[in-house]
Amino acid sequence: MDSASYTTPQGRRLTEHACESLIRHGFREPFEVVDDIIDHATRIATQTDGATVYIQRAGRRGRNYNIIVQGEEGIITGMLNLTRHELNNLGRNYGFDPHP
Amino acid sequence: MGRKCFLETDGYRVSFDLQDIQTSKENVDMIVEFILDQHLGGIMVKSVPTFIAASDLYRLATYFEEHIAQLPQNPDRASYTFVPMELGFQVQALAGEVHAENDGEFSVRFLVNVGKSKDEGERVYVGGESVVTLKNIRRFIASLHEVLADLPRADGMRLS
Repeated sequence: MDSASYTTPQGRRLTEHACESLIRHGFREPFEVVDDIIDHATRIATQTDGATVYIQRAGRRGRNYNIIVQGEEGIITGMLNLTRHELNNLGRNYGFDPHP
Repeated sequence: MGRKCFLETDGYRVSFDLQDIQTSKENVDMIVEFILDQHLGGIMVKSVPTFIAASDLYRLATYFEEHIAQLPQNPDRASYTFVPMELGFQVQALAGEVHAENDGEFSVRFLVNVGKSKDEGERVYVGGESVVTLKNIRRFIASLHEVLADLPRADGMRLS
């Protein structure tokens, strides 16, 4: 992937770090799942540093969460199948309310 | 350039293996190793390859400094569970006793993200809980600051 193509199918910008990070977290290019999480977020929260966290319920039992973190420079990272405990830990560490 | 930071406890050792450190890169490639002491079996587990941001390394150093500062007034304190954004590990500083600048200890629970479960694809964490001396935790904090000196400074980061 070259730097010119750091976008999702919907044209959302990905940071260079995001491309590597998303793949490590199980996302696949061209990252249409990133668009789906943002477009169909169950809730949206804001971190202390101003980044937006899109949270989508997921998993076979609907008890897990997918998230995308988006900052001023684009998508920073995302994770699939977070447990409620992991989501709560992220919220406590990055200053967002995971259950607004 | 690569560097390692070690957290030594009475029972296990954690190693942060930081790779390709560059002053221009905010996020560093890392593998975390959790190693049980030899007399406990010497088992070693490695985290999945993960990233850690300079700001998270700074936050981790501050997390332990704040915990140490609070223990004299509140020895039963359990700090919140620290996680980096990429969830490569979890660590929680727990109750302990601090009597002087370098005389004290507290419990530390450390879990390493070793990969995903087969069915639901949830992360699995492996680790342990033991006691760390102030001397060893200060050594770990100092090693984090040494790494931070080679990384870009994020807003609000102060290097000691």
